[in-house]
Amino acid sequence: MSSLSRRTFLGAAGAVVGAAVVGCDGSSPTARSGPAGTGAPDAELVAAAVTTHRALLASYGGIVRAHPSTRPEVEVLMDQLGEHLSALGAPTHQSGRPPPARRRRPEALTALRDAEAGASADRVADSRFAESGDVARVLASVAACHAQHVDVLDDLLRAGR
Amino acid sequence: MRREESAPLLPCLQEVLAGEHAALYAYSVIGGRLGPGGSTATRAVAAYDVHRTRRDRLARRLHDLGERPVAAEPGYALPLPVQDATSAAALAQQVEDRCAVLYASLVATAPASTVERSLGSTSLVDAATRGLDWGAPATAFPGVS
Repeated sequence: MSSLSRRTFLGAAGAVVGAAVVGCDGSSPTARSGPAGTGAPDAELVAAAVTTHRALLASYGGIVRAHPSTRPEVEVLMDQLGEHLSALGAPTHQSGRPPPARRRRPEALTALRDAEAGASADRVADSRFAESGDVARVLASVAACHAQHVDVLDDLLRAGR
Repeated sequence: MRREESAPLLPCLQEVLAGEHAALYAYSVIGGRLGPGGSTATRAVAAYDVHRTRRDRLARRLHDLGERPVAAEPGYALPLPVQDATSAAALAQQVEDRCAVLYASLVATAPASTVERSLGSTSLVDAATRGLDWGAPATAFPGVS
């Protein structure tokens, strides 16, 4: 029977599942404190992520305004984007009126879905080049969240609600 | 990759490989208990194939770096029994969540512009979406906290 360390998910009988996780690099990973040690090259990558998030949040605001039935699901996704902005060291408040969403709900959701997919691909690519491992990890995790949003939006589209 | 760059990476790659061994065990149990056919079993087979490919890739990479890849354990203690599609999905969610943590750590440990960094990022994304497919909720920071 295995006696794998706590980081692994199938350990010896009695191993505590769900305890704190320690990374390979010995750190306790947390995104909420922000990507530490962001050097000048990485600052550009973080700035690109912030710009994408602002555009996404504006689009989400537009779709909630045009299609209020999307609010319950969409607000969860917007909250997560807001958490990303905090982790990236950017203000989370939105200024100005959200841009108009497409009139037909499926088209509006599809446009958002495609924007999230593009954001995921961009953050995966950027995570490859970050000099800081911490920044790379946050960017990759943000990419994973964008990919989850794509699936959530696909479900919304299929449900037709 | 220079030797001094690969040194801290090697134990991390071994840990991720050990995780993939365990993931394969979990998915083999899920597939075995549920039998062929049905959406859950089909999804488990697809997941097994993905994890097996990654296990083989990690083992090859460690071999190329002059390391002996860690072997699978003869058995693993499951955190919960697999009795039906519901418990299978719950176990699969845990598997993917732990894989996300392991690959996030690989991203942080691997030097920039390496195949390991890319493998970590793409596998983290896969684990996050696969977990969602098994019924886990979307989270702001998959694999991190």
